[in-house]
Amino acid sequence: MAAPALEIHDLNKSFGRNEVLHSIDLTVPQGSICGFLGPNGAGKSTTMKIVMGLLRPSGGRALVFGRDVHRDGVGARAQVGYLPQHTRFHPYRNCREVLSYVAHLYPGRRPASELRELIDEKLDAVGLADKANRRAGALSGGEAQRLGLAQALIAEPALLILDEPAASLDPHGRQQVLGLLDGLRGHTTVFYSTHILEDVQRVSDIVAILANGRVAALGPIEDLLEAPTGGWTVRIAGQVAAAREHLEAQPWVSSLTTRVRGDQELWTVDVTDDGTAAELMLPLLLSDESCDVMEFHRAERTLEDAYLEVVEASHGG
Amino acid sequence: MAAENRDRAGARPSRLLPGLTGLLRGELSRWLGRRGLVHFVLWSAFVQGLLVWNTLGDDTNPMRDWRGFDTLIHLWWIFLPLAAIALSQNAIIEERHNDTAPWVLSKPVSRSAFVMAKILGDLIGLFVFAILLQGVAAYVWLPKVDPAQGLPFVRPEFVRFVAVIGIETLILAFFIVLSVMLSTVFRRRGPVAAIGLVLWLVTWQAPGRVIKDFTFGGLITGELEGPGFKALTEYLVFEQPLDPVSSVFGTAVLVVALTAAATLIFRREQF
Repeated sequence: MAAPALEIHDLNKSFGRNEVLHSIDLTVPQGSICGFLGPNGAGKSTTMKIVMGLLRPSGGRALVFGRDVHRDGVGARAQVGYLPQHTRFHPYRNCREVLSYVAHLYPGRRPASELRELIDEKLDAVGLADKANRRAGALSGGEAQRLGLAQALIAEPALLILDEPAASLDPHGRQQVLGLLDGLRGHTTVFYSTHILEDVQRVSDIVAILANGRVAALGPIEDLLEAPTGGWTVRIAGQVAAAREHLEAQPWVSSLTTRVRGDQELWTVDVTDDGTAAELMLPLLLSDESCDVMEFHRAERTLEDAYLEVVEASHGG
Repeated sequence: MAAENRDRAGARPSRLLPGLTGLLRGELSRWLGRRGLVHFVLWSAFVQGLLVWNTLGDDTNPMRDWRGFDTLIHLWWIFLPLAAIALSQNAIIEERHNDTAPWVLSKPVSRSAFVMAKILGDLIGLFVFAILLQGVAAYVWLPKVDPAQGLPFVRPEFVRFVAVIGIETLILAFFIVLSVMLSTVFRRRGPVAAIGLVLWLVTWQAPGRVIKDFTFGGLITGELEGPGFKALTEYLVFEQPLDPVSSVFGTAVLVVALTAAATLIFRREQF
């Protein structure tokens, strides 16, 4: 059986007395796209830096395609393209030279003509083709981020580790990055951190949520979204006050939250007895002729719901 | 594509200083650009200009006793350590300050290769532009000048000339390695440059026998016949034995020890 692209076992990291990572366990299968989520300071960048050999773990180990990043760091890194959170390049090199420099740091020599084509291809993929000869020091934050992506891709690595790849990008750039990640699906494993949950939900197969230095959730994104919410969504228009009071008075309704959308209201109704709610709620609302029910269904769980639930539970624990 | 990825991943990095070739290529590319050209033009104008001026001197020229190959040797003695300190003090500090060190080290390169590339990049650049090309130029044109007075401008024995270039390169290596090693310890350039300059001054004064006999300081202030001449001048121009030879080995040992210290210290750094 092929080794996972990334395995982390019982990983710990402390800076002095400050324990940042507590016994992290994580596996990213080959070919998957794994979103790495967590609040600021949760330890996402620290985990990635340990995998890249920039920090020494206090305990535990990390393996890239079965190679220990501490014992065989160079061998492990030969298979990884890495985008750090704060991308910095030698300011005196232009974009093309940056990519050429990085390509020459990887084993396996390419003919000059092939390398030139590859550099053009990567610059084009990240939207920097027209800035190929611009000095890295003269790039804007978003452009530097794009160049960071290109340099992570230049050796066509089997594993990409990206620390907030869309952080400084405009909406168009963000879409480009998501498209790029989507295009890698199946043949390159991607492990990336982000705070943009919408992006994760769009492109990831697996999600790992880190909270308080611990892996609070890990699994396919569908599994996280599948869990029942115990709630219902109602979109209603007209004279809704009486209908709301009537519904809140039902013994099987535990809470009702309201959001106003123009001349309509969007209710999230949490219930104690789902069967009764399924049977009685809609007839009850339709019986009130002063309002119109526009939408009625079980509340759908979003990644944001799942994330907040996991993080809050972790803080509570 | 998946198969290509696996093939590429299967390409093993070299076992000895993995990544050194690529890193060194990057360091040397700086010398081949505007930076190298400016250094080369300025240094060439200074060295060759001073040699020309000395050959044109007469009895009133205060440097009349210094003209010829001994002038070249003295210029190397004085300015190579300063150039080495000026360039190499920033080698690692700049990468750390600009946050480019962790970026480079996240590639399949070893930390030892990173340090060695810094040392070799500056050493090769300065050797080619400041020693080799200047030395070859002087070796070609100086013997053609009519030595009306002062030192003979006869072409020195080739082997001795090569040996002198080798020793100058060793001294250059010492100051580069010292600066790089100090830049792995300190976070600011000030202490690195200060320590390098103090040591450079100490070698001029050579206050102790240890420095004198077992490092290159002995070559600078070798107690030789004839005031104003130094050990290397005696060796090159007057074909005297190189004395003390122990200073060459002493300096070489220091270069190796400081290189080892620099790599060991840098390997422990976290980013």
